[in-house]
Amino acid sequence: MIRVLKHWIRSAPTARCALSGAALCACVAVVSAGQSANRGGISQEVRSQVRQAIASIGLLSVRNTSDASPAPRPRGSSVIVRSDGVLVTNHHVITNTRTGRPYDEIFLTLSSDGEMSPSSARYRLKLLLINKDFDLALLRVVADAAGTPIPKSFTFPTIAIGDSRRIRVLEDLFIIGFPEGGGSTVTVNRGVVEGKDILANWIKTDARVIRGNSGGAAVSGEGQLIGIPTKVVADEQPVDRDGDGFPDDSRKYGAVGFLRPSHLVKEMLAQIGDEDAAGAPAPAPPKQVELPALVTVRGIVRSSGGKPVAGALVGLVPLGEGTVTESTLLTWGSTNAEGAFKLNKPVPPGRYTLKAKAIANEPYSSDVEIGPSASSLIVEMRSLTVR
Amino acid sequence: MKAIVRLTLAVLLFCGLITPSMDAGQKPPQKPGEASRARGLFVNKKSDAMSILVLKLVDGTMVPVNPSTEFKAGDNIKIQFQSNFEGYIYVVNIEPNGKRKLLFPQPDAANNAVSPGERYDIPPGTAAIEFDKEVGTEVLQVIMSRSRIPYLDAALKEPEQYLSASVATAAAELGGGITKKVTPVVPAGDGTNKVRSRDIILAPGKDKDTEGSVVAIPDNGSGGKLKAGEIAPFEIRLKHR
Repeated sequence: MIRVLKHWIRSAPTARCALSGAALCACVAVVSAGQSANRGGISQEVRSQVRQAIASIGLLSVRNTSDASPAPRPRGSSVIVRSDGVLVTNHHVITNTRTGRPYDEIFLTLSSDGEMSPSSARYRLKLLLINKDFDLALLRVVADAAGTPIPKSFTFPTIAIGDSRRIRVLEDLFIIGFPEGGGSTVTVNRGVVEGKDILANWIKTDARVIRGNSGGAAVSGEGQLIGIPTKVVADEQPVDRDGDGFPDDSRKYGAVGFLRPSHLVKEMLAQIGDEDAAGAPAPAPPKQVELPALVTVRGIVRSSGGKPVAGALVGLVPLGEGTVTESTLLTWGSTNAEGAFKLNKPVPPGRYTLKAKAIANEPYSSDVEIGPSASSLIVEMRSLTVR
Repeated sequence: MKAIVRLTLAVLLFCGLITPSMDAGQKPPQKPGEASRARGLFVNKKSDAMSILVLKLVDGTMVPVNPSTEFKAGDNIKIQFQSNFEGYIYVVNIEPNGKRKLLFPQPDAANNAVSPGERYDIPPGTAAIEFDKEVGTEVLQVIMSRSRIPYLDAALKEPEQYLSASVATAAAELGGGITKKVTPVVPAGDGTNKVRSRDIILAPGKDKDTEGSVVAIPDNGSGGKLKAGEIAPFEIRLKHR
C-alpha cells in the first residue's frame, strides 16, 4: 500500500481518521419518546383490513412449574398464522432470560381484552420450532387452559402472510400487539417503513414499538402480516447536568423499531410442514433452525480480450432487482491490479443479480448463482473505447 | 503514414505502464516510430497528450526512475506530469486489496485543473508518496478529461478519499444515479455511451529521462482532441516488493 506523506524531506507522521459509532440496542425494552405521531387519513377499507387482522393477534403469558403463583404472567404478543393454531412470536418472549430456557408453560389469550379475558379464552401452547438467530419461534395450540385437547375441527382466526420482500420505504404499516404501556389490551398504532436491511433481515419503522409488542404483528394496509416487532434501537445520549464533566443522566432522542420480515415466518412454516398439525400425537422437543452458512464471494473481472480490469466496482443485489440503491445493495467490492475482487460482506447461498461498473467499460448486469461453498465469479466487461 | 499502435483502454490500458519494460507479461505491442509519434503529438499539440515522470527520493533528492522499478517499503516517490491541453487530471490509486483512493486532487489541494506547459507534482510541494509494508502491485489510474468528473470529486469528501467506501456511495456508483452525496458516475446510466474513453499511444520513458513517458490520443479519424463526455484513462503500475 502507499500513503501520502506531507513532507518527504523529513517524514511527518500522518494523521489517521478513525470513525466510530455507537448504537444502544435493547430488546423491545425502551420506551421511545415521540416516535410516531397520530396520523389521520386512513381509508375505511384499510381500517377494516387492519381490524380483521386484530382477531389473529394474541397475548402470550408464561409460568414455570416452580412459580408460587398459579397465574401466568404476560410476556408479549403472538400472531396466529395457520388455522390449526400454529402461531409465531419472538424467541425472547417465551424464553426465561435468567436460564435461557423456554418457560414450562406458555399460554395464548385470544381476545382483544388481553389479560383481562376470562380463562376460557386461554389456550396452552406447545413449542414447535425456534430460530435463535432471527429471534423467532413457532408454537401450536394443543389444549384449552384446563388441559382439554382442542378438536381437529377447530379453526383459529389467521392472518395472511404478505410478501415482505416487496414492501417499499415509506409504505404504511400498523403495529398490533399487547404493549405494557397500553395496559396489556390489544393496541394498534401506525407508522411507515423507514428502511430495509435485506442482508441482516430487518425492516425499520418509526411506528411505536415497546415492551409487550415483541412477537406481535406489523401489518400492511391490506391487513397482511409483513413483520414481527422484535427490538428497538434507541438513541440515548449522556447528559452532564451539574457540569462536572461526568454524565449523571441520559436523554433519549428517539428510537427505531426493528421488525423481522414475514418471509422468515413463511420459511419456518415450510420447515414444519403439516406434520405438526393440531391433533398430531407425540409431543417432540422443539427443533432449532439451522441457518445456511454465509458465503464469501470472490471473482475476477476481465475485458472481452481476457485482460484483468483493475478498479471495477462489483456488487450484488436481490435477484431481478433493476436498480441499485442503499437498501438493495447487499455487498460490494472493487478489483485490484489482477482484476480480482472480494465482496465486503458474505451472503447466504442463492441467486442474485450481479452489477459491475468500471471506467471506460459498459455497465454489466447478470444473474448469478452463489453456491454453498466459497464462490468465485468471472465477469467479462465490454469496452466503451472509441478510436 | 505508419500505422499507430493502439493500446485499447477497454482494460484501462495495460501499457506495461508508462514503460513497456515494466511488466514483460503485459508488454504492449510496439511499432517503430510510435514513441516519436506520441512525443510529436505532445509537442505540436495536435492531440491531447501528457508526459508523466516517476521520481524517487534518492539521497535526499527526487530523481527520475523507470516506472518498472521494484519499490520497497519506505521508498518515497512523486509523480510529475505535464499536459499539453486545458482540462482536468485525476489520479486514483487502486491498492493491492482492490480499494480505490483518490490521490489527485486532494482536499487540501482540490484544484486539479491543468494548463498546457505547466508541470504538476503528485503530491504537490514537499509531500511524497511512501510505500508501506503491504506489498503488491499499486495501480495509479490516471484520467484525462476536458471537464470535471463528479463522482471522483465526491471522493474528496470521503474519509481518506476512498471511493465507494459506504453503501450510499457504492450504490450511487453502481446505479449511476444521483444521491445526496454523489452525482453521475463514469460511465453514466445503464448502457449509455455518454462517457467514452479514448485510445492512447505511448512513448515510454527511461531511467533519468527528464521528459518521462508520453501518452497521446492518436490524431486519426475522430481527431486527437478530447470531446465533451470523453475521457482518456491509462494506468501506471508500480511494483511493490
